[in-house]
Amino acid sequence: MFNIRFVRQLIAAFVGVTLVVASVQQAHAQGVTDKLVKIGAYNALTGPIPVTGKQMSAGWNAAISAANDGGGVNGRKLELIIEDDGYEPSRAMAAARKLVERDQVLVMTGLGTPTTVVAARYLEQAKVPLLFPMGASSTQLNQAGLKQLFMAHPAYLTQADIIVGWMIDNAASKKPCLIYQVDPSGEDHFAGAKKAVAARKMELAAAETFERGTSDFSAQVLKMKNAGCDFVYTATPLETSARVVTAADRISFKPKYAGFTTQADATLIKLLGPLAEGFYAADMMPRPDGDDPAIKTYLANMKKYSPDVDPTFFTAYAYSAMQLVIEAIKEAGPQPTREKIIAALEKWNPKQSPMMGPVVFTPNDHDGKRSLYMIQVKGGMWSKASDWIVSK
Amino acid sequence: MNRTLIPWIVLAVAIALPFIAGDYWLYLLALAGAYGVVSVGLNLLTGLSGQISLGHAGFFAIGAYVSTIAQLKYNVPFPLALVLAITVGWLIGLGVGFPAVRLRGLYLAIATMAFGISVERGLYHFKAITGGPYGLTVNPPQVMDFAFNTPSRMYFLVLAIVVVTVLFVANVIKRRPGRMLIAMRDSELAASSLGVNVPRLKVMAFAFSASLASLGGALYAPIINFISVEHFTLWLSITFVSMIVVGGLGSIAGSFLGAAFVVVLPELLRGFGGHHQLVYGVAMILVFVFWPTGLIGLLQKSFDWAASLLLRKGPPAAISEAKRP
Amino acid sequence: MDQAVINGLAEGSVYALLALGLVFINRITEIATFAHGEVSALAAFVGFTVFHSLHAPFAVALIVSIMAGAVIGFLVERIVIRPVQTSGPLATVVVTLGLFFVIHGLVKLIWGPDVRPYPSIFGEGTIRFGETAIAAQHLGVLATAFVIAMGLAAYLRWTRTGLALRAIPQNRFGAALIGLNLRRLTSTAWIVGSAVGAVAGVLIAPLTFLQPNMMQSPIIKAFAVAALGGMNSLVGAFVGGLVLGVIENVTVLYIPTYLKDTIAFLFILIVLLLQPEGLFGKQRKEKV
Repeated sequence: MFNIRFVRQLIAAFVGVTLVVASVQQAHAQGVTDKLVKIGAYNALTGPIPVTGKQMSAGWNAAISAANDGGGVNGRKLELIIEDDGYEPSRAMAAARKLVERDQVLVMTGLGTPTTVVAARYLEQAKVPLLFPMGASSTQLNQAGLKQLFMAHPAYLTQADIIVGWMIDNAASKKPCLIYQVDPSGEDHFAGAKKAVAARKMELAAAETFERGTSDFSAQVLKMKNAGCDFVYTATPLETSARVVTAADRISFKPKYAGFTTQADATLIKLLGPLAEGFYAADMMPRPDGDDPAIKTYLANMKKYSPDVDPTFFTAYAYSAMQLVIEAIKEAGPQPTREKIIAALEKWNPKQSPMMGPVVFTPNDHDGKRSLYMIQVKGGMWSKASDWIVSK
Repeated sequence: MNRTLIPWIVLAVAIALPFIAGDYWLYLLALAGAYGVVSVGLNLLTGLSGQISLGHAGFFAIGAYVSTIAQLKYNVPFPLALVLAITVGWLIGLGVGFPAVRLRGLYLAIATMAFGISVERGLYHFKAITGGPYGLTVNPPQVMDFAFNTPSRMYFLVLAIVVVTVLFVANVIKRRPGRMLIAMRDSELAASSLGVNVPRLKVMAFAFSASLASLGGALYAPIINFISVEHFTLWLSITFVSMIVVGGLGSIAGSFLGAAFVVVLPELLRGFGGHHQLVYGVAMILVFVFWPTGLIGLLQKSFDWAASLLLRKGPPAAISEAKRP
Repeated sequence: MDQAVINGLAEGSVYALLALGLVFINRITEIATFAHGEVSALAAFVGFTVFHSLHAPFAVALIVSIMAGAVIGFLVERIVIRPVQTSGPLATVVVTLGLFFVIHGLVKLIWGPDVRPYPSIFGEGTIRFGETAIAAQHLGVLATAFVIAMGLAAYLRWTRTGLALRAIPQNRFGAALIGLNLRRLTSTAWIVGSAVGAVAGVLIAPLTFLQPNMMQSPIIKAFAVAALGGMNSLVGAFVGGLVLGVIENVTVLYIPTYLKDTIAFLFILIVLLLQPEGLFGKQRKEKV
């Protein structure tokens, strides 16, 4: 039945695979030893968003190094192990498995929405806390009711709801529009925008879409111009917003713009120059050019530990999120366990975080940050345009 | 060594693996198995019948979604869902194959690329059924009351399906259809002058490889527990092609080796800063320049060499010696 | 509507420019190189380093980019293509795909993932005709694509080298028989094609920003455009690019914008089904 050549091939294949498997049997290590606490993270260091990945690593590492230099947590140093997943969900699962099963980390964090969705499911089964990943989807993450997942980034739905609503109420927008990327985050933004207009008995004049990797937005802005939009919510990455504004300006289309948290960044002004004037954005942390001592420490630590990466929204988020992780580990006491960390977090009602304002977790609600405030570019700089707005 | 024992040894090793390897590796191997099934199909199409496809992620997606939706929304039992996935894959493969027959080379590549991209967009467009970017949660497969809800159970399930697939495909290749395919690859004109209905064979090859890709997708879904539009990109199609190239064109075992290579390599390179793309690329080039038979050819050679050492078979006796009475 | 047409011409000219080098190489060597986009990107990166780190004036950086493209083309042909030239069409597809990974990986390794702005030769201005507007850059790309297409066509038609180059795909054996140096001519084809690719890289980089991933979307469209125009026709690539751009941008006014790519590919599929050799392709006759 089996001819020799075929058999030889099969053997070769299976021997090859077995050799690989057998050669990498693990040496176990504890997530918590006398000296060390291990934290794991999946990150997109390759693939479509490597710049974001790099910034996340920089922020996380700065927070960890600063904490270690300050003596660690309850007498232990912290070790952060970052694994690349190339922004691919199947590799995010592999990375999470490796960190939990082989490196035996205590807790996890990470980057990305589709990657987090897959990792969160696995970590829920494995009973490992997933703390404050960067990425947010209302239905899949923030409101998913997962016991191990704690979110500190406002769901995109929440953000869109707040921002579009505010622009209608405070910036006199009568024909609101949005442009979003076709992926779960974009879908969330769209849902939030729809919610905001429906609540005010209005409709979106246009809802434009694009694929990741698009660099030419002439078609989208043309359609928005034809629809008569007076305000565009840019539910897009920062560089994309810049391109949208430039493309619109070219055809003399000048609506008001508002972006969400990732656009509350000086880079936007740098990219757009004078065209940035009047651009609104929502921010979830105090401005980096303020007097806040926590911000100053953050900037100093970034310079010290991650000097080759400029501070952006992502580095700030990663840094402050990691600070919260460290805080949670501290509160879990001299012998931290995963259950103790969760118990500590669920008592944060509220907890004043150094950079993110109040964060709230209860046993039934792990969607910790639902407040934003609006800023606007005035005279070439971001300035505060509203107080904290809280969503229900 | 008795040659017929070897496949059983191999199978025994494969079955023993879950007892020595952790969940992490079982997950990777199961994934490699699912990709391997796709790979075998693609190899049949490209390695044996010489048609290139840059759209197999589309069939992969179709299999994943058909089987998942059938189970989730229509309570179809898992084995039937698999059959459904294979059938739908076959039918759509026929549909794609018919027009594809008129195209060759690069034009075929572009057309299949277009197919793959259309499937991806279609999944997004019909979000009511497919969940669009929010995706679908996939429950562990269940046969009667037995749920495959641990990595080792999934691994066995995938292994079983892989074995069945391999046997089936090996059989097809050995018999008439396979030999016709090979004849067609070597020279379409000669084959058709010998009575091979070339266009029909090409379409069949497409349909067959599509159904295997769909089977792979139906396996992939429960391994990851979740599917969404973003998993099934052009990039994935290109990855499938690199699997068969590196593993060995026209070789069944090579298909699985290539799949294992693609899944395992990024994991092995974790210490080296994620430059696995570079290694893929170099591997693909080196393979074609130096070892057109792929990794499987390389392994075969080393196995033969090791076997000859073990069995102490020296070089064949010199002719003068052999003539001695 | 007019603006949509202008947008289409603008976007299409980018596809056309990138497709030209590809088509040129394919015309002479019958090899479709999947690595073309990455070669263009690499040339653009080299130019960037010359401009940024060595503070050379941009014109110099441009020339260096083109030379870099030429050199890379030469090396690719020599090291990677020559060994597999006779191993069949699948071999070249695979090897150029492998090269795509390799060059992409190298660029990421050397320059990192950061996104950098790239200076534009044509400036940042906008040109307006009445109600419609086009970016100066896009107009520049359009003009450059036209000039290059015409230039290459003229080169092939009216120079001795061009004549020799054209002889190769027609009859390799015959060409060698009459004393043409096949090796040198093939090299020339790759050098010229890659240099054209470098020009494309430098002109496209300001639009996509300079980053390792910059060519991943454009090259797919460029391939599609090349196929659309008939893989061997320079004019076809130019016209095909513009036609595709316009079709995309006009149809998208009436359908959801995320279907833009699908429309593009569906259009190409239909054309290929009706005309398997593309709009301007010549009927291929295979020797028995």
